[in-house]
Amino acid sequence: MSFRLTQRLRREGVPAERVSAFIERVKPVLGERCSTRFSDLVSYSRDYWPISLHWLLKGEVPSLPDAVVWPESTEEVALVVSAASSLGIPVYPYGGGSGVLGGAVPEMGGVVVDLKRMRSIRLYEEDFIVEAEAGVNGYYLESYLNHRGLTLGQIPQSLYPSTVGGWVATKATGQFSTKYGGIEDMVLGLEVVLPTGEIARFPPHPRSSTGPDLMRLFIGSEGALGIITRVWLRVQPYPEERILQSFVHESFEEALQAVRRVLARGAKPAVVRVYDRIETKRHFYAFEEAYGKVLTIVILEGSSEVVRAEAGILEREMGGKPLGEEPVRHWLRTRFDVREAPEFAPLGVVFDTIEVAAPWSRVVELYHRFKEAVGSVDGVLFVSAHASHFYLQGACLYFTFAGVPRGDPTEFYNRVWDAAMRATLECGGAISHHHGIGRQRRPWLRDALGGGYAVLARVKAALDPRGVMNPGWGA
Amino acid sequence: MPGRWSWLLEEVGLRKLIFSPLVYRYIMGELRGASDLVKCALCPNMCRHACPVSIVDGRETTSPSGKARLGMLVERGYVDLDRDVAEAIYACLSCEACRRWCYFSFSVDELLRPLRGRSIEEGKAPRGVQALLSNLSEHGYPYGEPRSQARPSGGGVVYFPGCVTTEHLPELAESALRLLELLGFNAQPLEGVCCGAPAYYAGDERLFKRLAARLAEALESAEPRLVVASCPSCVHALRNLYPSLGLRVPPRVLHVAELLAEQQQFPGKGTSLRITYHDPCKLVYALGKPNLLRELLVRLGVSVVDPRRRGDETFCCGYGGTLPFSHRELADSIARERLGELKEAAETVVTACPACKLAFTRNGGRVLDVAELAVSLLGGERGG
Repeated sequence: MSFRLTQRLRREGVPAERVSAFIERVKPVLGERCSTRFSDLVSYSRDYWPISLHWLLKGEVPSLPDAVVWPESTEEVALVVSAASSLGIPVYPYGGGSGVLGGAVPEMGGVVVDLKRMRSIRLYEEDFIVEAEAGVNGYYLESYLNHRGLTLGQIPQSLYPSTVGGWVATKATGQFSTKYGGIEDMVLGLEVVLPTGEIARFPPHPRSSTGPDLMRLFIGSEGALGIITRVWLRVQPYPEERILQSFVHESFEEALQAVRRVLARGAKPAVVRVYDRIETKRHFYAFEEAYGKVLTIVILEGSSEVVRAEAGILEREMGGKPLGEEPVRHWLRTRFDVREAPEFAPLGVVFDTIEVAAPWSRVVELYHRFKEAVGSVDGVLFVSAHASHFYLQGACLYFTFAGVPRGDPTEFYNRVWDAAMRATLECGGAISHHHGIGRQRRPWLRDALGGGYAVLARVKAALDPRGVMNPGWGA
Repeated sequence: MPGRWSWLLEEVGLRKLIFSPLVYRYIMGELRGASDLVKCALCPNMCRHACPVSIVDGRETTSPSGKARLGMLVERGYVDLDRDVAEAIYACLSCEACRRWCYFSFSVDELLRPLRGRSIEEGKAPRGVQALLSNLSEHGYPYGEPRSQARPSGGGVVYFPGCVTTEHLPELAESALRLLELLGFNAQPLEGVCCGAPAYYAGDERLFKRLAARLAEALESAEPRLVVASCPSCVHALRNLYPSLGLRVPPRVLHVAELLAEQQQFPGKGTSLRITYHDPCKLVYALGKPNLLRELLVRLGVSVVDPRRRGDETFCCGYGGTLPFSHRELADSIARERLGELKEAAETVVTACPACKLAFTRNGGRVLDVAELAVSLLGGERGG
C-alpha cells in the first residue's frame, strides 16, 4: 500500500509494538471487525470539521488512527477500551462523523471505536421510552418511531448521517428544539463504558433523586469521559396537527422581541427561526415580500386543541406581516440542503457556522458585536445569522461566515474563530449552543468555563487516570 | 425576481467579489466548479440513512461519501487504487437510493463506475467480480455455461426471465409464463442471454456494450411486439440504457408488474392472507414506479400490511448490482436485515424482482414473486 497523504495534526505516534499488543488482545474476539487497512485508517482520519475539507483537497488529513474497530456489543466496547487503556493507547469513539469541530479526529493516533454496528432498538410503548444502542442512525430511529405513531422530536440537520450516541456525546439539539428540547431533555437513562473498561449503567426513570445526576456528566463529554453505548430516550405521540406560519419584520431585533412575547405567553412552537436580512435574502430569495427584510418561520405541532390555542397567541403577539405557509414549506423542502460546502470549498472559500447563545438582555448586542468582530477580519466576505433555538430566557444565534483568504486558509479560519469567540465571551454568551467543543473550540474552553474548568479537569483525571479517552479534546 | 446568488452580489458587493475571481465566475455561471465526485466526497453523507451498505456494514469506508472520498484521493494521486480501495468502491448495491436524497441528484454508483472500470483494467477488482466478468465475457451469462438457451421466433410476445430466474428460480419463470397465458398472451421465452446489466454496474463498459448488442440482436431477429421481463434491472437496461448506446429495442418492454397493472380487472378469487411487500430498488428508482407493487396488491384483493420502509424509501434486498459477487457475506447480512423488518409486518412477502426473491429465500424468508401470487389468485380465469 502506498499513499502521499500528509497528516496535519498528529503530534506523536503510538509505538508499533503497543498497537500490535492491542490487536493481539482484541482480534480473537473481533476478527475482521478490527482493521489496520489503510482504506479504513484514511476513512477515520477526519470528521466534518469544515477546515479539513480544504486540507483534504490538498491531500492532507487531520490525523490517521493506528486501528479501527467495530464492536457489536457493550461488552466488546469494554474489551477494546480496557485493552487500550492498559496499554496506554488513545481511544476515540466515532458515530456518524458529522461533527463540525474535529471532535472525533484521532489526533494522537490510537484506536477509533466506530459504534455504528451497535444499532438495536427496543420500544417500551406504555412508558413512552425507547432504548437505542449508540450506533442507531438518526433518521432510522425517527422513522421507526413515526411508523408506530411516535416521535423523538430530535431533528438536527445531521439527522441523516448522525447517530444517537453522537447526539448524546455532543449534547446536540435539533430544528424542533423549542418544543421538544435538546437531547439532554430526552435522555432518561444511559450506559457508558468508562475509560478503564468498566460498564456503568444509569437506568431510566421518569425522574429520580438519588444523589447528583451523574448521568449528565457524560452528555456532551465528547468521548473524553467514556464511550456511550446505549441510551433510553423519552418519546412523544406523533403530532396530531401541524400549523405553519411565517412573518416578515423590518428588523432582527423586532422579530426576536416578537418571539419573546410568544414564549412568555406560554406557547411552545416546535420550530422558530428568525433569519436576518442577509439570510432571508439567501434562503428565501423567491419570496419578494420578504426580500431585504427579516423572515420568521414557525411550526406549531401537537394535539389539535393545544396547537390551535398556540396559533391564537402567535396571531396576537407576532406582529409584522404574516406571509402564510409557503416560506415554511420551502424551508421544509430545503432544510437538509448542504450543497454550498462542497460547491465553494474547492473554489478556495473558507466558511463555517458558529452557534452561540445569550439571554434576551444580551442577544441583540451579541448579534451586532459578533458580526462586527468577524466582519473586520481581513478576507471575510460576509457574516450572517439566524436565531434558531429559543428559550424563555434567550436564544441561540447561528452565524455563518465565508471568506477568501489571501494567505493560509487555516490561519484565516483561526483568526475568524478567535474574533467570534472573544466577542461571545465579552457579551457573556455561551461559546457553543449545540456543536460542542471538539478541537476547534478548545482554546476558549478555559475562559468559557471559568472556575468550572478545574472541576472538568478533576473529573477527567478521576475517571481517566491514563488520559486515553479522546486525548486532546478540550485540552 | 432575485436569483440564487443575488444576495451575494448585493451584500458582498461586486468590488469584493471581483477580487475572488473563482467565486465570481462560479456564481455568474462561467465556471463549472469541482467535479461531481469531489462534491460528493465533500458531503457529510447526507444519504447515509438510505444506503443499505452503509447502514449494515457500518464502516465510514463504505459509506456513500466515504467511497467518493477514497475515489477523489485516488483520482488526485494521493492514494493508490489497490485491492482494499477497490473493495470499498465495489461495496455498492447500485440501488441509487442515494440519488433520492441528494440535492445534487448524484448517484454514488454512477460516480464510482469509471474507477471500477480502472480497477478491472489494473486487475484490482474483487475476485468475485472478476469471475463474474470472465463468465459474462466467455459465456454471455453470469454463472458460466447457461442452463437454457431458449430463443423465440416469429413476432408475438417474448418472455425474458433474466439470468437470476433462469439460474436459480426456474419455477418463477414457469409461473410468469402461466400468468402470461392467463392474461391471454402466448409468450415464448428468451433465455441464456444476459442483458449486460451486471457488467454495466461492475464498470466494464466495453463488455456491457458487447452483451447489450448481442441481446438487442437476438430480440431483433425475434421481432416481438412486446417483451415482458421478470427482472426490473433487465427492463431498466433494455428501456433506459440500450437507447443511449444507439441500440434498437422492441417497441414495448414491460415488467410483469407493469403488464399486470395494465389489466382492466382481475376476476381472481382474492385472499384473506396478510401479506407485506418489498419494493425492488430498480422498480422504484430506475423505473420510477415507487407505488406500483402496493397498488397492484390492493387491486388483487390482498390484505396488505405496509412495511416500515417502502415506496421511494425502500431498502435494497442486498442482492443489487454486483454486491452478491463482490461481498456475498455483506449482501446476505443486508438481506437478513431487510427480511427482519418485513417480518415485523407479515410472514409472507411479495416482491417483483428475482434477485430480491433469491436474497430473501436464501436467508430464510417466505417470498413470492408477484407473478406467482397473481397466478395463484387468478387461478385459471382470464383477465380482461
